[in-house]
Amino acid sequence: MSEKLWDNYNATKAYDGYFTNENKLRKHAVIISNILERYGKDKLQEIEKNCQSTISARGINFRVYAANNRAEEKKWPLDIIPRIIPKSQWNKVTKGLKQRVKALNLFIDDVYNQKKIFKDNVIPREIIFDSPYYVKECEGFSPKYKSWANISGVDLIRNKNGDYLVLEDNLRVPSGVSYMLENRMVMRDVFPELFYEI
Amino acid sequence: MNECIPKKTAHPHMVVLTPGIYNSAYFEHSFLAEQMGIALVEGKDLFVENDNVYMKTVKGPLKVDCIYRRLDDNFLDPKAFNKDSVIGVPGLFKCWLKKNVGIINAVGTGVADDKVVYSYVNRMIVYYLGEQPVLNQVETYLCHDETQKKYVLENLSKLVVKPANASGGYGIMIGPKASSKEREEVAEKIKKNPREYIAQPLETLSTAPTITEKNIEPRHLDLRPFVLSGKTNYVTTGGLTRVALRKGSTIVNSSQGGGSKDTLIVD
Repeated sequence: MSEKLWDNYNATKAYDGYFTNENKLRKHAVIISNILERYGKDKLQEIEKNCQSTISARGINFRVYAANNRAEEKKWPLDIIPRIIPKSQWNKVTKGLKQRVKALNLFIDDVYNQKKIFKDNVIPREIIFDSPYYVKECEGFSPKYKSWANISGVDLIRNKNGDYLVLEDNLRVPSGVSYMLENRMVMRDVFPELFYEI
Repeated sequence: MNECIPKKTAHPHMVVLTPGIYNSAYFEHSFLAEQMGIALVEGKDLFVENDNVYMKTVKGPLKVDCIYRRLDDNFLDPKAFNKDSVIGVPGLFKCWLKKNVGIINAVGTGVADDKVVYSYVNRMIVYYLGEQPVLNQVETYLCHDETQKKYVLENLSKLVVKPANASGGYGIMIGPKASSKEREEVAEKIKKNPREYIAQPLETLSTAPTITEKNIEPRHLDLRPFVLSGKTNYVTTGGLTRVALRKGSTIVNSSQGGGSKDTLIVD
């Protein structure tokens, strides 16, 4: 191994999950970095190839519609270097997501029932009742546990300081949960060592 | 799904309702049905009788108690909504209103999933829960507000303009990267339909090392954790990390050249 794994890795101005802006390895990335360094670039490329053939074999794909409306079946792309999030940050994210979805469910229930939030002038009424997604026929209805969005896929990004920001709530028919589960199954297959030490 | 069955049943039957094999997420629909050990059905496999939903099986009709639908509201029931829908189930909506079947997500949920409504979520948290929001969100300018619209039109080159209701990364204009012609087109659209557009400052997405053809380089990513709500709330451990595979790109959608990563929570 002539060249070290991270020798030419230059984190950009954005927040990087592994390195600080001064190109120092973050504390929570040490264990994983050790594993990756032990493998080295060539071996990691090999695992990446294995990963792609495992995905082909399992038939994990998705469909893209081109401009001419022709459908094309594509292999699901998975990069074998995992994204890592420290537990303390994750606990906060979890708390924030639960809070957010709870409020959104109460809001939807309010829209179709009491309409308190509009009477109290917290949100302008017209942005809701003019929306193409407002369903008049649901007036007076309330599902079990007042839970309207049973599954949501909230998109988060991290800004320059590493703060997690909500970008979208995706409450309708969010997709991706199968790919999240498949990613883990494939990773356990092609890179099991990663899970021994973490 | 069990928690979404409106009436107590000893042996509930649940199904995943898909638009069919041509849908871009059909792989996911079949995967989820298989993992949950429930049937994957299309609209034509279900029918309604006396305000109950049944699935056609070789052994005769089987009452369905809960439907995880992967169809938009509009296509769900040609009797209640879009008359031309051939992928829906006529009469389904009424069964749901009478609480004879559960539908996930509930019909009408989309009203809160709009980028204009998004800008008010922090106020909802304070209003309904009496708590301060734990997570921040991206600053959003609403074009239907005159002052904000003026600001957006004057600063198009710095902002990202998005349709209020689209998904999949379609129709987005990234100001700093757009040509002056593209900016002019968007300005016209905003003036015509201000309610349909919002603008946000361009946030740099964070990065993580990613394998490229010959090397390992930083690539931009986002994260989609899934929140399940019924009697209580549950958040998946981690989520789906999507990564923009092209250098410098911040478009993570798989339909537009995005990839993915496993997400690990570490000590």
